[in-house]
Amino acid sequence: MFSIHGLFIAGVSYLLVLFGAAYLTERGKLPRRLVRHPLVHALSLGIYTSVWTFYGIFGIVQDAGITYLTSYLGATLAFVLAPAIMVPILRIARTHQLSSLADLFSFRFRSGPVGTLTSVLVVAATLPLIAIQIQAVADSLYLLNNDAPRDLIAATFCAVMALFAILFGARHASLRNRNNGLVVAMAVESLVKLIALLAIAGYALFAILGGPTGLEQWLADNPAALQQMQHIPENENWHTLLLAFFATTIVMPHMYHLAFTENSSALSLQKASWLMPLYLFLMAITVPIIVWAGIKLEAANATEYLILNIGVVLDSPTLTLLAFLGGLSAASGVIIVATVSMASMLQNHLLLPLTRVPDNVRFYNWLLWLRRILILVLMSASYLFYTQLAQPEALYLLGLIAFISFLQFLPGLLATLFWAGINRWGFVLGLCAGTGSWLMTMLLPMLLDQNISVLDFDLNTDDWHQSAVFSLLLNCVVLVVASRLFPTGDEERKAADACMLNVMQQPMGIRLNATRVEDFEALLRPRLGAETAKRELQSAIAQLGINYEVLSPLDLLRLRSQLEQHLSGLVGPVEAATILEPLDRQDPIEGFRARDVHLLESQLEQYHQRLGGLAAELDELRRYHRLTLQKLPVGVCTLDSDGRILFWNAEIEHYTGLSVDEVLTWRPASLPAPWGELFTRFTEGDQSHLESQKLVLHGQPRWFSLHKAQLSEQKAHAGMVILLEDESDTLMLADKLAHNERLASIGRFAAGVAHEIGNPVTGIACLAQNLKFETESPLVLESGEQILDQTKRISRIVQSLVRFAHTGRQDHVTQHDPVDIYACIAEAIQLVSLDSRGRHQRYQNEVPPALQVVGDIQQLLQVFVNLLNNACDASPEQGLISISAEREDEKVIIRMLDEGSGIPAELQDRLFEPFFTTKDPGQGTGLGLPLVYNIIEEHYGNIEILSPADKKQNKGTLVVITLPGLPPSEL
Amino acid sequence: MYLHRTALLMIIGFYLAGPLLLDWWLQPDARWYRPFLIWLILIALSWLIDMRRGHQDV
Repeated sequence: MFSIHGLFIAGVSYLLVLFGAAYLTERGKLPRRLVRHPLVHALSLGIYTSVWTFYGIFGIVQDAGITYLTSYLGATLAFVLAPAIMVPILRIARTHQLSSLADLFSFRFRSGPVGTLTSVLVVAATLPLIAIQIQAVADSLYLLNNDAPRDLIAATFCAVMALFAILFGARHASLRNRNNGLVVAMAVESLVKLIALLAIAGYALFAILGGPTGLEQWLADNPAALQQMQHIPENENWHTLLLAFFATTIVMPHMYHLAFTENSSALSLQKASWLMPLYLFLMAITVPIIVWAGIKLEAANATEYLILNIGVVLDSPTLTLLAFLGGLSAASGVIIVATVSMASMLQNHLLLPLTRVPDNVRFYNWLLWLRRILILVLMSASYLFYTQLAQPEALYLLGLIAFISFLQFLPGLLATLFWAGINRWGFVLGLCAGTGSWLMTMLLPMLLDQNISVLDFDLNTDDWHQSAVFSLLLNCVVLVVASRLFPTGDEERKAADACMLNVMQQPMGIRLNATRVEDFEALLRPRLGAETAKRELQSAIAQLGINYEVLSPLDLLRLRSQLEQHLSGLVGPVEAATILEPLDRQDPIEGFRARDVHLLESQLEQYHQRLGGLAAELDELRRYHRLTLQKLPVGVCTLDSDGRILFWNAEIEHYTGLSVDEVLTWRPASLPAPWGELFTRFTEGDQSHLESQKLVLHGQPRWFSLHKAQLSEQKAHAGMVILLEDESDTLMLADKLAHNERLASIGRFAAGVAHEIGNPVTGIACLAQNLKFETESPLVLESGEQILDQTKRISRIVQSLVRFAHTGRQDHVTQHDPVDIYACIAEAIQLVSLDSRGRHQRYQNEVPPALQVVGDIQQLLQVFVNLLNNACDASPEQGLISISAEREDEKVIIRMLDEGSGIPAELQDRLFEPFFTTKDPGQGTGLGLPLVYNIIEEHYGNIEILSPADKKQNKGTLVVITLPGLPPSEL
Repeated sequence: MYLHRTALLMIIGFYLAGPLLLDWWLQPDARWYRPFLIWLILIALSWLIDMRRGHQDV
């Protein structure tokens, strides 16, 4: 017999390890990578194996043979199907912050009573399970030491479990925050159980049964033992059990809590899809070995506590202690997590709807203490359940019946995931019918029959499974029929869609009675208190990453959704919806609304990876069309039925300088000037097109054309599409063309005038010449000379005009012969020197004699004469004008530098404009440089004028002319 | 009503192959560890599927 103190110390030491693991995790002492590792979380799901599987399974093997595997296989099936069933539930639970099965159902069916009913049933079915755990711990201690005070041990154990649940399971008011300590502690528990079982089974196999060959031999010698293990039940009990264990794996409160509430990543469930089957496999394979070892040792009389009894029979403290600690960890895991989960369930669905937060309390603390008190109450209830049940042996039977009761949640759960057509009436009535049938045919007969004992309840022969299947069928039938008979509300339909696999939540189609954050705060304050309301709002806004100051209608709607999710984590989905309900009002306008479309699109972006088949194809098509609109080289903007901006493409962003995030869901009138006025005038007007609207943007005039079309001809408010075209460049080009055309006509006009003037001027010149022979009067002769001078001047002007007009003409043929630059310039210098202006300058022709260009010598001569004339006019007396040239590749660069006054910077842009001159009236025609420019252009060269050439003295002008040189072959 | 492809395949597969598998599994003269072998194959398959599947977060 073990000393009670020794057992107590072992138990307390183990629990201290558990506390330590949780404490170190919460304090951040354990590596974050380890704590957050998906495998750690997946391992924590091992709490599925309660004392039912650790101790009770040995009783079932002896009663029902291979049927014992159902409890492992049911869970294995659930985990293998995790990607199809558990991951979608996790998605819903995480998105909408649903912390328990009751939260899930009350969210799905949008009903408070659904949550309350689920909570009550879950608690009713779980209390017997917890009582079994307490009993197993007390019984195992009693078995090891008959003097152990069972009830006192049970009470102490309950108190320690409650303390652990409060310390590590109820740390945060909001269920958004993970209790990592709890998860790590549960993973440690799972490991302890497994190690204990494997160690005992290993000892049994090698030390008791003589290894694998010894086992084979022993089985050959004892066929009865093998037959007992392979015994197949005659009836179909195992089907029902398999289904029940499959359901419990998902819906039992502790399993739901660890798999969904304490889980933030689907990765751990994906890992669990093979890790948990492996874990259960290892647990299950130890069972036959331990049973056979028990039979061989004749220790099998203790049925459920066979694993403990082996150590006792062998008088091995190590084996006994291992079995005891394994059982302790199996019991404590379930108790702790189930209590935490049920406490949040009862808080959200029983207490919060009924109670009002007292004034002058801090809401978070109040919630936290409420949950802690609920944990204590639940633990006390479990203890009472354990003590008050007349026959403790019946607890195992009660446990089995409790497992069957969890089966009643399976139809509702599957409907939540796969069938949006089920409504709250169907769920409630189905659940009531199923549970009622279970109560009448299973629970009540058992409770009323006081003489029942575990051994009487024979898994092989009893037809209890028929009752179980009947109650499940009744549940399903009522679920479907009632859902068809009773109407489904809009809210419920939307929630159903939100829960469906691969179906997105429809946009809400509501308008908000709120325009500012303060409106939200005013709504939350009475229920949550000022401080909590502010904190929740700040947290939701921070998570959305939106600007607190400027909230668009889309932001407000996002804030509402985010807030509902946050509040759901705090007070449950029903309470959260109730708090936020006053914000909503139905939208009277039908059709696409900008914010809904954007919510839909943002959801689609998130879902992109998960879409498959037709949905994925359609999404690709949507993306393609969106990209087409986005990249269209014309500004596109669409307005929704409410007149709010729905789409704003890249080009319109470029035109207006307003980014898409700034303008979405705004009305055109809210756009900054000048766009607001333009868009409003256009959208409200009757015209479909608005041509060349002049706007001044950044001080520059710009011209835009607008076009619009209604998206649907039938409906007046179906939204519209607006195109915005920038016509500024086109209009500016047209202006330039018109200007050029004007200049060209002036040229033609000038040529005509020159031609007409030429004849009378020649006549005047002849008459003036004749005067020499007509008179001797010196006065008249001088006048005649002056007339001749003036006519020469007129001729010069006229010739310039004619030349200018001719150079611009298309039909003018330019010669392209080799031209000797040196000779050409020398001739030009000679010509200029004939003039009185040119006579007083110094010329320096530094052009290499052999340098040649391709061109028309007469025209080039004209160029140099004009340039030299200009240089002479600008230069002081005896100024130096130097001309140099060089060949660069295939070009010839000619530079003409003077020491003149230079050209003011503001005039340099206009030098080549016809009729622009800086000379005194009568001195220049303003056609010299334009003529030069035209000739150089016709020679495929270019001309550049740099002034001042001498920056230090701020004088001089450098003219650089580039002309095509002679091709190398002709050099 | 939308059924996940994997779930649908599993249900049909289980319905078709289940009875055969069970008969073979529960043959009286079979080795006692035969059920566990099938179980191990299931685990290996799940592991392979998990390895091939990219991580999809919720």
